Amino acid sequence: MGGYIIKRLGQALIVVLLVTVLVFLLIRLLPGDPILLYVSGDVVSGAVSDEVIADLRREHGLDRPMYIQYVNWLWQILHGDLGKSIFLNDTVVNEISRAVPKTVMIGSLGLLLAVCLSIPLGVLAAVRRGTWIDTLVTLLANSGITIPVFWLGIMLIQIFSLQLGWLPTQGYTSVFDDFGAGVKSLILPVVCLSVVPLCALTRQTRSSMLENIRMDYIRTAWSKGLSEGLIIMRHALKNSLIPVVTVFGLMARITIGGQILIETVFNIPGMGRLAVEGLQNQDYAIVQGVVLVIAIIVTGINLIVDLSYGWLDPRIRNN
Amino acid sequence: MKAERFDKTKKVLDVQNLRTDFVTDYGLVKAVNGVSYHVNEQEIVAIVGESGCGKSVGLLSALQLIPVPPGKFVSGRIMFEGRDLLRLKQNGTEMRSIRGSKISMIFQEPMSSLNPGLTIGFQMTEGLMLHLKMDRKKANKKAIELLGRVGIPDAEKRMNDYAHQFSGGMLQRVMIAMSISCNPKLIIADEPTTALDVTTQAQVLELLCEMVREFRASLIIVTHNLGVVARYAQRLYVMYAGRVVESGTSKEIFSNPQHPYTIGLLGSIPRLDDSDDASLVPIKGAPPNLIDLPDSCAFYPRCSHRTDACDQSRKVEMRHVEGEHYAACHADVQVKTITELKKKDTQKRPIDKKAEPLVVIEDLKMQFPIRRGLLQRVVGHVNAIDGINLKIYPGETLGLVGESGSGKTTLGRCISRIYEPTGGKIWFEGQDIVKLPEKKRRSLTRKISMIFQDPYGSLDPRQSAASIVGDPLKIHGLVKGGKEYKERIEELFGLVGLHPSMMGRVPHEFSGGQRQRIGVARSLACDSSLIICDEPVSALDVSIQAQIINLFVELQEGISGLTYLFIAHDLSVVKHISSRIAVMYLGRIVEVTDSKTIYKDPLHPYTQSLLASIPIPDPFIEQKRDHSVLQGEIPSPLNPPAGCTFHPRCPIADQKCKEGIPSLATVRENHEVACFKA
Repeated sequence: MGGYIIKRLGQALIVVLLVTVLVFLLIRLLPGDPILLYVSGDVVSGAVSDEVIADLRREHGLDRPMYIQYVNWLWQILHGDLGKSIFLNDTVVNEISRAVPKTVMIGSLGLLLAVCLSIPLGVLAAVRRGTWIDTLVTLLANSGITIPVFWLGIMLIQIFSLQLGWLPTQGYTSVFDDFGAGVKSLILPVVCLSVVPLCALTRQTRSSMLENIRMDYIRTAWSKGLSEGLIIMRHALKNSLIPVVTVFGLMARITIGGQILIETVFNIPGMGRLAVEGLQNQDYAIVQGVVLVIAIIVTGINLIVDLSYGWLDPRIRNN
Repeated sequence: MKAERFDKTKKVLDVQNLRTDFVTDYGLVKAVNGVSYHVNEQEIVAIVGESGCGKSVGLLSALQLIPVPPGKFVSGRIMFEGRDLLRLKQNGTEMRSIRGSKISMIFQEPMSSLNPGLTIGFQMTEGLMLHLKMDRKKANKKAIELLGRVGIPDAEKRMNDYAHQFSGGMLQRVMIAMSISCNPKLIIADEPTTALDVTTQAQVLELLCEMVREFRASLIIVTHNLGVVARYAQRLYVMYAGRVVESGTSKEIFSNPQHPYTIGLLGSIPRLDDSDDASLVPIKGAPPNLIDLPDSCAFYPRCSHRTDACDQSRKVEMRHVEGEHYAACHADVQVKTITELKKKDTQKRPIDKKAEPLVVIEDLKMQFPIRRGLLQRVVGHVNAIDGINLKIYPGETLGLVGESGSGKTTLGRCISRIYEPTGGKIWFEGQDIVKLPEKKRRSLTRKISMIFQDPYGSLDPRQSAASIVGDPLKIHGLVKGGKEYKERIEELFGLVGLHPSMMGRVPHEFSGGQRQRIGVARSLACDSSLIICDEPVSALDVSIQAQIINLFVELQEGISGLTYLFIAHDLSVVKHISSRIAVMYLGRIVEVTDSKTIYKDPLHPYTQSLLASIPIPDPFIEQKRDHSVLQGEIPSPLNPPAGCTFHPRCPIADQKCKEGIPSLATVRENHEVACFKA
């Protein structure tokens, strides 16, 4: 197992490295020049001499050949430095470390909510197959998966914030600063984000359970005199989770994309917003930094997913 | 000896008039339709019948293990310890306290019947902790003891292993240990050895019966293998289309079968002790569709003894024959003995041994590389076939037997050139087809065709039967124009007994037996001289199996020079159809001789053990036979034992066998053996 983890970590490192190359090249393929964009904006007033532009270029290291820029960037990363934003007048590390906690908080709570609800719902629907419970759960899951996140966000704000006035319309408060306000500000974005993974995971859990409770070893478990609860929880669930975990990995990645919409709708200064603003401004260092962090998170999730296959299925573990 | 304290006539389980239905989209299936059976204390009872006859459902119903819906327990009583089990709530506490503790079950496929995600130890202790209220520590100790008792080496360590780390035979031992763990009154074994090799089958059945005796339990064994019944069961029930058609003691039924279906079954199975001129008497037709089946005699359409007196408007009652013997047939069918019945008018055509052999195999070798690591480097080789010399004569049937993993299928595939042999020569019609370039080989090897085991998986589900059969004609350009093509296909259909009107159908519209007929028709399309049949009948029911075997025999009688290489693990089938038999073990041939000699005078200890492990469907003969079984399992070809590869399992091996490899030598005319002791 230890060797397997090391091997997988090595593969993950290669993936992250490839991502750095891609994002570095792709952002530079976009038409336009970040320095010119910067000096033409409101930040600098009046005409700007070529000298100032050259200075700015030198300051951000954009005057050097591309491969040197890349090597320098990698070197900086190894030293915990992701460069300096052209527009935001701060280091990328500072910008990201302000944004990451918000995104991770909303994302992980959203996924947690989805997992906690979907697995019991899916199991329930499968065990009570053909009853009204199953019909209801299946119907909700099938329709929920089609709801666009931004529309749902706006509707939730309309109902719970504007009409009922229970929850804030936008913004983010850290639960560590003000617990009550923090929780209130989290509820809508988290619920909104969890809908799609919740529905997808419920559907997968249901169909996977249905497949497993027909298996021979479940009949053996019945023939031993075990109770239905034990048979479902001990014998059927663990084997049913393998495809569920696959879908979870997929959903975790989709959720990161969904954050961009959520953070825009609820006006939360997280990673999604940072990425969008960085892209609009062609702020090389910001985009590179954000993509790098997201790449690390995604490969981390994939790694956990792969390792949990081994935990769930001993046949994979022994290979 | 102490007086036996149990009452041999006391019924442990008494099922009366049980009816279990399944409500399907197509109609009502009376899977078990008014079945009564019982088992006495410490008795071994068998329930026999072909697939779909309701034997499993009848037993699963006893423990209410049928999912409701679609199943439904319509009527009947299941008396156990003074209670009617059908009146208990399906998964209620009372029902569950009987399952696994007083009545336990063993299922067919041990690999899928154990949970792949939980350790063997966990699954072993579950029942102990539930029913005997043991704590984890005590339960573990008891489980290790039980696993040791059923012959799992290193039981303590293996407690933490998972199902996939065991062989099928070992898993069935685990299942046996599990089933006896709570001292049950009754064990129900549902086809416990069907998926296993013959030698493993014998080991598992011996163990099961030993355990049943030791724990003073009763046993109901469900099987389609009449040999197993004759060897182990005291009484038996024969089921057909959801009903018991005949019941009685084994001796009564085997010596005086009364129901035409029982007679048909006995006539359908080849026996090791069949005389040379015996032929099978199959039951015509196929088992009926159970949907909306009338309550009258379901066997009537297939019955060869039916008369005008057979009343199709009434339910058939069980008729008392003698003693415990009952049969569900109004007629007192007087038949010849099964041996007489199987007697054939024509003799097997003698094989001309002076003729030039059709195929000569010289020192054939087939190695498969083992690849490991990131770069898939070759780290070693498996010698699937390790130096085989064999001759196949035109017009004969050469049987090839051995346990799974012995290399029989690989040999067949080398000859048909699905595999490229890594060494040696295969001479076919005077040319070495191993070395011949692809283009030249093609016109030659079209005369070698194959029939595969699984008639479901080996036919393209989207191709029509006509194009499956006709494809080889097109590929090799054997017909000119559409008319000739069509005529040839019609001819082939006729040869294998399929009606030409079925040509447009796709495989799933055929039954298993018909599908195998399509496979035979395809193999005949190219005027093949050699057909390699790889387990062609092992997936079929007994009555259908006999039809296909007879088809093979008839084709050979009709087509001059047609030669079979018949690969199978069932020695009685092979013995019936073959003129000569080659026995394989771990990639080598250990004995070759004609089929009569191999039964009467086997020389290799492996052949002897194979023969001993096959039960003969006759309780009188089985009583006298030696039931000592071959110990151990076939070793992995990855790491074969030194010297004679059979020596670790051989009862007569000595020092010489551990060092030298015996080569296949002619010990007398037409009898070659690879053993120092022969």
